[in-house]
Amino acid sequence: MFCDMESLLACVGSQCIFCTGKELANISHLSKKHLKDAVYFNINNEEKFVVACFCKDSKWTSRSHYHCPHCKFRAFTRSAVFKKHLKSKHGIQSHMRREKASMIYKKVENSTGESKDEQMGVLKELQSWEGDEDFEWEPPSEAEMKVIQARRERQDKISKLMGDYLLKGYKMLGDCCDVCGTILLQDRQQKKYCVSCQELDSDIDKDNPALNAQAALSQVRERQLAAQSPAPSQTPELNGGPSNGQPSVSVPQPRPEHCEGAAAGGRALLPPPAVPPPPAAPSTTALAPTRPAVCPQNPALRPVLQEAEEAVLTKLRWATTQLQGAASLEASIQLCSLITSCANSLRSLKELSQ
Amino acid sequence: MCSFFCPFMSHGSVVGVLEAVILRSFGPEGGQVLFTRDTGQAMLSRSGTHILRALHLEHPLARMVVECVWKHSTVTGDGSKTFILLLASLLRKIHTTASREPHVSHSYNSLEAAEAATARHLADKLLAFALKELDDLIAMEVAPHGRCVSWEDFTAEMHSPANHYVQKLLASFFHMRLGYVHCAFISELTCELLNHWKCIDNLPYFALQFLKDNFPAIHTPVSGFPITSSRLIEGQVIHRDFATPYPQTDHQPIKAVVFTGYLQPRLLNTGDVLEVGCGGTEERSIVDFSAWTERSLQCLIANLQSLGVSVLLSVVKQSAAVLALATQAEMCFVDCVSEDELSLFAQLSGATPISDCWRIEPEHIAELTFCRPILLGPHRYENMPFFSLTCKATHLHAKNYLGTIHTSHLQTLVADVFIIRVKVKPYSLIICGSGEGQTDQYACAFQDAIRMLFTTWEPIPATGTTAAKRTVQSDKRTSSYTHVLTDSSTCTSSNLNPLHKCVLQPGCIMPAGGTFEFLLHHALLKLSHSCSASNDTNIGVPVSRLLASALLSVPKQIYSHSPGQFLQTRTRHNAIFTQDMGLESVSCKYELLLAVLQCVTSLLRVDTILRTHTALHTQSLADTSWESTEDEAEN
Repeated sequence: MFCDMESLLACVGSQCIFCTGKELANISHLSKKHLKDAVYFNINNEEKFVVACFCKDSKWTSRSHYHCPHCKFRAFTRSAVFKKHLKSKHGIQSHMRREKASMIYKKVENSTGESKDEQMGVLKELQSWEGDEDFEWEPPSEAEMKVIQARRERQDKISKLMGDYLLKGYKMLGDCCDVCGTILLQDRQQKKYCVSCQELDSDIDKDNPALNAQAALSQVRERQLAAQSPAPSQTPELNGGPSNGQPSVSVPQPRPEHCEGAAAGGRALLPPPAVPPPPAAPSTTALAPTRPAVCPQNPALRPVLQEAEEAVLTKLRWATTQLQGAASLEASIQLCSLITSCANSLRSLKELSQ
Repeated sequence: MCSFFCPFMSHGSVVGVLEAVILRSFGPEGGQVLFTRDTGQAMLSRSGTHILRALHLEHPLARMVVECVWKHSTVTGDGSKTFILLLASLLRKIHTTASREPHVSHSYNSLEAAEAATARHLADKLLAFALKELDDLIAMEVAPHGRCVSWEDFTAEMHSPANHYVQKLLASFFHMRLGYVHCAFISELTCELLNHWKCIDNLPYFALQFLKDNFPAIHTPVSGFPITSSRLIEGQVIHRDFATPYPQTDHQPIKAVVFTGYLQPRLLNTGDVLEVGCGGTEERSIVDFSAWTERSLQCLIANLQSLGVSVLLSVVKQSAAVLALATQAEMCFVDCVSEDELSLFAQLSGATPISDCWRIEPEHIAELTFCRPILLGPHRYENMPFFSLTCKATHLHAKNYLGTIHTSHLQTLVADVFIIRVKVKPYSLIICGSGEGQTDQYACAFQDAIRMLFTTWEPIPATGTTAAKRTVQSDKRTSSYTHVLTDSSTCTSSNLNPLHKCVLQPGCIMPAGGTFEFLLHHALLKLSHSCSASNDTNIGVPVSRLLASALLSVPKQIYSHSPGQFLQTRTRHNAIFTQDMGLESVSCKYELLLAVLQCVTSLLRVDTILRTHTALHTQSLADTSWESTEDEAEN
């Protein structure tokens, strides 16, 4: 494991220590071959990375492997397995920088001469680069795979329905639906018809308890569960700080996908009087449904409103910190929607108090 | 007003919809589509082209795809549903590959733009690969598993083994197209037709070419009878009735002439100026003029009578005076004969149509064996009695025809300009069907079968660098081609081109049911393994692998009712020959692949669709959308 570029740079020499054969270990080789496949992660707000090697310390000497820094150098041959291990065992979110490295080593190639200043400049750029995730490709996580699968099935269903309608004599227009982007059909009476909007269930509405009964039921269930055992759930929360283990039993983490949002929503709606920031929960985050507006009838509820505001603000703060560290697309989307609903709730609370 | 859309998703979804439309009719287990019109006419069809053209499509991409399918089908006659299946699966594979590894060599605004560019690049690479290497691959890896049937073997005897293969090929074609009930009968009828039309001295596939070009004139659809009443009759059938009562003539040969113009000059046309009474002292009027024209007609008819002509055929409708005079002279007259029938008549009989009726030469006179009316169909279907004629066998001349084998556009020129005298006894095909739609369907099936046979036996022109060599050796072509076509067992490409090791032989057929796709899939995978060992491509995945995985979608659909069988045949591809799913032609499959890849390339070149408020050209939309990127926007 390396903390920064300088320590990697120290490995520059005539024989690369990460390769099996004889390889000149210059900047170009290190960045092209090893940096490209390194696994990056943040520990204590410091970025570190692990480079794959062929050393004899692990049982795989003929395959390149990664050493886990926390497990006393337990080794993994595949980067995906290593990343999963980091995430599940140590709670570390890691990523790779394949594409960015390719841009970097192009710069290294283009740089004339191998002067130390230039190399340091190039590597500093690599260090300071936040890395936008546009062109990075990682194997999709399970949740993402499910989403991709569901989308594909939905698309197939749409195609089949449209094919049936075409055979019935409908006309396929050149326009797309404004809402969902599916191609529009027109029947004999010149009426436009969108197959996905009007026939298939929308794939985002099923998590919204306002529209879907199942989501509402699961939300109620979650709230009941959370209300049943508030005491044991709060003691680990009072510890504060990042906790690596699973959260309390009352709100179990591995729930079916469609209840995730409701479960998190139930958690979010829990009105704690003075609750410290909840534990830094890994992976599943809140998809908070639109919060039902609290409407007190008399000014005696003003302190209640204030407490509600505080709770919402706390949640907002928590969501923001989570968003900064979020690595997957789904999590970011869900966090953003939570922030949106928190803001809406705050607005409605402020309106009520006025 | 422009509507930007994500081109990738649109391509995939449009072609996906078309795929969903034809999927249920695909394969030997596929069903038929019932078409109904507002007038109450109903028709069942399984032909992919028919189904796709009957859909109401306004989406430009969908129309482009249907146009591609139709054009392909007019050439090969088969494979329209397979076209859509392959197209959809290729687009899906390209989309997956492009989204997985978008190009980062250039900077793009968004991931979508990068994906689209990668997809375009992949499609171009695929097409280049197919044009360069695919025919060699097929000739080396796939064709050896099939059989090469030469045309001579087929036309030699009715019950030879080669005949059996061709009949089986036709039977499987008609089975897919029309159903299993009558496919044997129809394929026998087609074989009989081909046997009658074979030209012994000429190049083997000349008969197929001739039939393909003249099919509308050779067949006669008759509705109201079961399909089993279809038969061949001797002679050519002209689809018009006698304009004059037919006198029974016993003496032979019957002489006939063809007129292309009006015999009696028409008095008044728009824009004509008739000067009457010029250059003479007497007062002339129109009546005198028409009397003069009648007198000239009488001279003409007398002239014809002296030559012994008794049958007159005319392209245009002649005036009543002409008809009256012809009746008086006991000549039969047929007018409003269609152009293609007349051209066939001219080819068969060797007589040139007369354009100037005052100069009748001996070459204008055709000799017929018989000429009689024939009643086809009951009166209530408004079928007019036809008459049929045939001609004596005349000499064989194929003027400059040998020089135009490859370039198909010149062949039609030859048929129009030169007169080809064919040593053949012509037979006409009467196709019967229960309703008009059914009869039309059978006629289309016949025509497509002949097109398919023609594509099978047509020598495949060389691709790439060898094409240049071919055009240079135009004089030696004729002799070398007869050599290629008569010798089916050995690869004679060494005579033609030293560069290619083996060329796809005409007449190559193999078992149907996904055999071609499986074999090509394995061959492509082998090629990709050898390629990846030798060099590293930029894209990362060789296009041959992409094509190989896309090809499997076809047998997957064929075996969709039994996935276990699909897996079994995939792993042990020796077993495919034990199943009897009929035969199919390798050349047709090759043409299909090329057409699909070209369609994919054109589709992926479309970036945006702009809506216009006014119509652009009245020409087919396909012509404008073949161009890349945007159409003109006129607001």
